[in-house]
Amino acid sequence: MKTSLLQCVLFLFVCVVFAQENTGKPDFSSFEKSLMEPQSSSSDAEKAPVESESASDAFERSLMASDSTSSDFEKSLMERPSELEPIYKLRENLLSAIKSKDTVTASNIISQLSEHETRSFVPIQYMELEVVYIEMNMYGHFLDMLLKYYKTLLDSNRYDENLTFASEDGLALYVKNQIMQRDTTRNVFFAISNKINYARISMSKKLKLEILLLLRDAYRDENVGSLVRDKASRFVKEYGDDPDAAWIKKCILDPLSRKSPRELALIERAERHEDVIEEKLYTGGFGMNLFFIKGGFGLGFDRLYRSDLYEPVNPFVNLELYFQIGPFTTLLEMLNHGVNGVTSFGLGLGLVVYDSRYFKVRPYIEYALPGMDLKVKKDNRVEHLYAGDDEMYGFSEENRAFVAAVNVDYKFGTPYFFGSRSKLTSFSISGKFGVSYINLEDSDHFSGSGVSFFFDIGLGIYLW
Amino acid sequence: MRCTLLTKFLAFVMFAAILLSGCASSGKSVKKEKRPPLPEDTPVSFIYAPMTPIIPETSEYITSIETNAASGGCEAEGAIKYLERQARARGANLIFVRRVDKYITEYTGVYGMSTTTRTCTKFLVDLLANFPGGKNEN
Repeated sequence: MKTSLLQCVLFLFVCVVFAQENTGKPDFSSFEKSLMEPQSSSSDAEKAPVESESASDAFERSLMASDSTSSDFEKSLMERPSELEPIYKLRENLLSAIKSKDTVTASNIISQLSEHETRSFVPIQYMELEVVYIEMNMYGHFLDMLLKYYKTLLDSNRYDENLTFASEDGLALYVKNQIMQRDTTRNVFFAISNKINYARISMSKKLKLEILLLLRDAYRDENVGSLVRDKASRFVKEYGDDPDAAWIKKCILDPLSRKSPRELALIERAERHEDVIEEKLYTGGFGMNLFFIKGGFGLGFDRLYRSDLYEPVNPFVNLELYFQIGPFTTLLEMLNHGVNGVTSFGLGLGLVVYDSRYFKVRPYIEYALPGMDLKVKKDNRVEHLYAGDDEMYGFSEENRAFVAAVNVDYKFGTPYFFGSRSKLTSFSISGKFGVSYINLEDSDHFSGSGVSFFFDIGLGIYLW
Repeated sequence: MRCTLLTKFLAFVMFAAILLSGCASSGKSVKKEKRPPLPEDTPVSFIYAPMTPIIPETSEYITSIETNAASGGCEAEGAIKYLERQARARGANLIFVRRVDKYITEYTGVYGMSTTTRTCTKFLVDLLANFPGGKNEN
C-alpha cells in the first residue's frame, strides 16, 4: 500500500517537473532578439547587402525560432518528418552523453550527425556544438569546429536558400538554457579562459582557440579587438610554421591591424615622399638665399674712390629672392660683386638647367643698379660728413651692372611643407659663382668700371 | 676700352649660357602603378565586420576609406553608393565595413540666422579586390 502510494507520488512529481521544464520558460522571442541585436549602433549598415548572410547567421538564425511553449514543442514533435527521426535520435543520445559526461560517445555522435548534413539541412548547428564542447571540456574539438566555421563563413554557396535546422528537441532546449545562463555582456572566452589554460591541448592550439573565440566581438568592442590583434600577432610570430598561421595573418590580423584613414594617409604620404619630389622637379616655387661667405676680385676699378676719405663697407649678407615657374626663374637680389664696397640691387632672369633630388643648378643674367657703401674716415664739414658715418651712394640709373652667374644648391633636406601632401620645403646650402661688369659714374664719391669675379656661399630655403 | 670690355663680357655670358644649356634635362616622374578601375556594372559586395569578422583569403587589400557628410551625403544610402563608386574606381569589388558610426553635424543657415543639427552615418571601410583564381595581381 505504502509502496504504491509512494510510486504515485513520485510519478506525479516527475510529471510536475517535466511540465515545469516546458512551461516555465522565459520569453524566447525577446531573448532571441537580444542575441540578434549588434552591440554597436549599426542599424543603417545592416541595410547594406552582406556577403554569406546565410552562413554567418547560422547560429543566430537557430535562435530565431518561434516561442518554444510546450504546445509548440509537442507540435513540432508531431510535425517532424519521419526521415529525420534517426537524426533526432542521435541528438537525443548526444544529450544523454552530455549529461553523463561521456566525451567519447559525444564525439562519435557529433561525427555521425555531421555526416547527415546537406545543402538544405543542418543536423547540428555551430552554437549547439559550441555549448556541447564547452560543457564537455572538449577544447580540441571546439577549436576544429571554430576553424571550420570561420574558414567556411564566407562561402555563400555552401547552403541552399531554404536551409533548415534540427531544432525544437531536448538538445535545442538544453542549449538555449545554457546560453541563458551566460553573461551576455562579455565574450564567452572570459568565462572559460581558465578552463582553456588547463586543457590538454598544445599551447599553439590554446592560443588559436582564444583568437577564434574572441573574434566574434573583435569589431564590436575595441578592447576585444585589441586583444585579438595582440594574440594573433603573437601567434603569427611564435607559431609561424603552423598550417593556419598564414590564414590567421591574412584574414584576421591584417584587417585588425589596419590604421585609420588619417594614419594611413600619413603613412602613404611618407611612402610617396620620394615620388612627390620626383614629380615636382623643374616645377614652380619660391626661394630665398642668404649668403654669408663672400669673396672675389675685380679687374679695372682703378682709383675707384678716395681712399683717404672713405673706406668701403661690405654688407653682412647677400640676399636673393627668386620665383620659379616651370624651369624659368626671375629674381631680385642684393649682391656684393667681390669688390670691396660695391653692392648692387638687381633684377634677373634665369633657367633651371639641372634639378634633382639633391642638386639644382640655376644660371641667370641680371641687370643691376650698383652703388657703394662707404664709411667716412675723417670729418668733412663741407659735406656735413663726420668720421664714422656710413653712407651709401649710387644705386641710380647713371650706374649700371650686368651680371652673369650660376647658383648651385645642395638640398640637404626636403620635407613636406607642414601638413601638405604635395607641397615641399627644401633647405639647401647655396653657392653662387659669377662675373659682373660694373660701371660706376657717381663722380662725387667714386668713379670707375671693371669686371669682377665673385662667389657667395650661404643657406637657402625653397618652397615648391 | 669700356665698350670692348663690355663686348667681351657679353660674349662670355652667351658662351657660358650655350655651354650650360647643354646640361638641361627634362623632369621625369615615375608614378606607382595603380589597379585599373572596374566597369560601372561590376557588382560590389559588402562584408559587415561586426557580423563577419574575417576577409577572404584570396582578397587583396587596396585602401581604407572613411566617409563623411561631404562624401556621399549624410544618409547611409548615399554613403554606400559613394563607396561602391570609389571601390570600382580603384579596382575593388569587395568592401569590408569595419565600423559604422553616427555623428551629429551642424550647419548654419543663411546669414547665420539659424543652426540646424542632423545625425549622419559614417562608414570606415577597407576596399578589397577579390577575384579568386589568381586575378588579384595588377
